Amino acid sequence: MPAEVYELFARKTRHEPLHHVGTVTAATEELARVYARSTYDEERWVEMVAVPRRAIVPVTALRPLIEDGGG
Amino acid sequence: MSPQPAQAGTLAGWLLALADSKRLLGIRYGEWCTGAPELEADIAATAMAQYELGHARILFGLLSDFDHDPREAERGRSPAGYRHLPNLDQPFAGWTDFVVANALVDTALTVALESALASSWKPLAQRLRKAVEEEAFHFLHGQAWLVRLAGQRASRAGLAGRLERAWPPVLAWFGPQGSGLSTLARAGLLGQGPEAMRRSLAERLEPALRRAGLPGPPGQVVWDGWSQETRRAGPVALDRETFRLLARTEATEVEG
Repeated sequence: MPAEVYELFARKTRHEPLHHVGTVTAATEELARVYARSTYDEERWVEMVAVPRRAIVPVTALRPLIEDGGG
Repeated sequence: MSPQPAQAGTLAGWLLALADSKRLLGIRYGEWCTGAPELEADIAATAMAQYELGHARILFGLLSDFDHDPREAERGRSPAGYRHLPNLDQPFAGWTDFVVANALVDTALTVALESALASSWKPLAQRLRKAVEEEAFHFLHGQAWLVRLAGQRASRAGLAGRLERAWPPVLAWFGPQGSGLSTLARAGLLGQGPEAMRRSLAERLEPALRRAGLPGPPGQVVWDGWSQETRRAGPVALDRETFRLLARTEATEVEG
C-alpha cells in the first residue's frame, strides 16, 4: 500500500478551534494515528484529527510564486 | 497494605525483572532512532524508547521500598544478574524483529503492569497508572506494523517465523502456574497470576494476529530447564556491548 500524506489538526482546549499542526506520511490510517501522536506530542491535545491530503477540496488554488514563462 | 516478609522477596524479584525488561526494551527501541523504514517510524521508535526508559526508572525506584539500592540494581550487576525477557538479549537484527518485540514483548510487559495496578500495595498501583496509559500508542504501533508487514509478500514468511520463535520465552517468563507470581496474586499484591497473564496477552493480540493471519501462542509452555531465578531456560545471554552501556557510569567529576 503506498504511503500518503495526512494533514494534522489539533486543539489544546475545547474552546479553541482546530488548527493545523503539521503532516505525517503513512501507509495506513492506523499508522497515521500512531505517527501523529509520537511526532506531535509537544502538547496535551484534547483533540487531534488526521485528514488525508487527497480528501482536501481546493477552493482557492495557491498560485506559484514564479509563474512558468512569466519572466 | 505492605507486602509481608514472605512475599517481599518475590515481589522485589518481579519488579527487577520488569525494570530490566523495560530498560532493555527502551535501549533496543532507541537503537532504531534512525534506520527504521520511514522517518515517522524513526520518531515513533525514539518516543517509545523514551517512555520505556522512564517506566524502568519508576520500577527501579520502587525497589528502594525493599531496601534495595536502585542505583546498585541499575549499574552494579554482572550480565548474569539481569532478569529481562530473553527476547531482548541481542539487538534487533532488523525491523521485523523490532515489530515482533513491539507487538509481543511490549504488550506482555503492559499486561504485567496492568496486573500491578490491582495491587493492594498502593505505591505499586499509583506509580504505574500513567505508564499503562502511555503504553496505548505502543500497542497501536505494534499492531499496525504487524498487519502491514504481514500484508507484504517479501516480509510475511520472515515475520511469521520470528513471531513463532518469540512466543515461547515470553510465555515462560511469567513462570509456571503456582510459582512466584501465583503467590503474589493470592496475597493481593498482583491482580493476576501467571496463567491469567498469559491468557490476557493472547487475548490482547488475537484480533491483530487473526487479521494478519499470523501464528498465535503455542498450545503448551515448555518448562525444560526453566529457572525461577532467571525466569528463562538457559543462561542470560546479554550482548557485551549492551552490558557495557548498561553498566557505564560517567567517570568525569561534576563540579557543584
